[in-house]
Amino acid sequence: MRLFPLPLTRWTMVGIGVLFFVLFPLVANDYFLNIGNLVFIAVVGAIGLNIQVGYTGQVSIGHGAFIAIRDRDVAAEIVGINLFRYKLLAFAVSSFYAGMTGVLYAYYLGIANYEQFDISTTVDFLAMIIIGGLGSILGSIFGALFITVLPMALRAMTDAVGSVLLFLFPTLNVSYVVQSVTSIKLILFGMLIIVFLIAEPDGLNKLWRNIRDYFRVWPYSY
Amino acid sequence: MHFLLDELPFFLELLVAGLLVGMMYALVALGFVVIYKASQAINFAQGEFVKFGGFLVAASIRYYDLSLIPSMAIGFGAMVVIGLLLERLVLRPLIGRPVIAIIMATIGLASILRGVLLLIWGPLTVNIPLPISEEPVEIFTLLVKLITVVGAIISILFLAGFTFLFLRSRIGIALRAVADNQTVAQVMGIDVRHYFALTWVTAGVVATIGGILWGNMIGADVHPALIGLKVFPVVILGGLTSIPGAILGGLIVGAVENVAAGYIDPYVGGGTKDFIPYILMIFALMLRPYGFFGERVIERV
Repeated sequence: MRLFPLPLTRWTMVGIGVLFFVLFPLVANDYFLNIGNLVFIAVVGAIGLNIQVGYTGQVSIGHGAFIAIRDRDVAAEIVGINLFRYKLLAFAVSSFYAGMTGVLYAYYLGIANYEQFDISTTVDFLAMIIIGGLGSILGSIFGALFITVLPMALRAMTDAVGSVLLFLFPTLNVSYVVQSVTSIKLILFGMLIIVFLIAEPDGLNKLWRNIRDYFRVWPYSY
Repeated sequence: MHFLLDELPFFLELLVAGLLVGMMYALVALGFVVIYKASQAINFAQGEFVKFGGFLVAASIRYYDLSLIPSMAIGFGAMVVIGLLLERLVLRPLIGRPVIAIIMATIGLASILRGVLLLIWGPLTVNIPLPISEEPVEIFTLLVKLITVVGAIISILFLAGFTFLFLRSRIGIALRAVADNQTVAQVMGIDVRHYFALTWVTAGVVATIGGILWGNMIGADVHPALIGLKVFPVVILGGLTSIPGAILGGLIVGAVENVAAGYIDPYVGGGTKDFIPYILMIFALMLRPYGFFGERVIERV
């Protein structure tokens, strides 16, 4: 058995990467930072474009490799796809998007605090992609919309129901009902994840495609 | 050498306390391993199981004035019912789907359990009063908390009982057959669904034992439980499919985190326990990805 799961060259690359991140702040002045930024933007643009192209149906080795690895990674490796490289690439790209989200979110809130991003954040995002539909960009947009709007709709609903209840039963403790939005949200999240997994594994994206296909041939469907 | 001799009692005390807590980790990890063996599903709701069982017992004592035995009966009964319902409502429709679907279903389940607790009883921490004295006892000149000793003894008894069941009884043979090859097991006349339900019930019961012990030590509350995540280092260290591995992993994680906390915490101000197990896990993954007793998987295309 090999002691390390990676060959030596990979370790060298990792070492250079770590060294770069340690040394970069020491040599960083405006000039280096500018060049670094430009390179970074170009790299990001290229990666983003590649994925974009892949998803719009043009020829792209990268996208095909991702799908092949998703479907069966051993077979993909035998076909000649560099498994390590593409898995790393997938992680890198998704980390980039996660980081961008963090930046935008912190900017939106005005404060950044590590305690607000715990494991429940991951569960929220997981709920989004399951409800939206796994493996599709449109699905993740649907899911994100749905999950973000859900607590607000829930809040409005509990407010409305609470006021009606208060009108009918003046002795009821309505503040408790309104406070419980968080827990109802958690329960609904869990139930939605399970229901979508069982009933509609392709998520809202599939529903959307069904609707679209229905209206594509609408008056003459048979 | 003198320095080392002076340190020895302190070190041993940390080590013993860690090993005792580690037995409880092993117990909770047992539920995880049994589920993984039978259905290759990683149960992300194990921590919520611990919390749910513990909190049910705590709430029955605190809010409904029941004595200890009936509340424990309620806790175990509820977890058994949850295990059975889970198999019927969630896992049976998911049979034949990719493993990732079952994993995500357990994440959804964790969310539901947390929401139910929060909705009904609110976010307060409730202690479970057990008839065990708070005074530390002295074993071979080492001071240890009595509850950890009791917890370790209960864990050892349960683990031994389960191992015996697993290796000797009819149920155990059927369980091992299901773990080995579901299709063949079904052909031989074993009702696979029945044994899936049994594994989830086992997970619920061991989680409730863990929940009661933890509820006495640090109080039961509804916040995301670290114990649920600590199961991962334990089982990865020991190998996901191995019961002795879970026990060894639990002991190692308990001992290492406690010793590290004892020596590092004074300098960094606490929190060592929360990250040391994961560092251990990363090293285990780098050096021995299948764990100490795990099966090495050979993939055929």
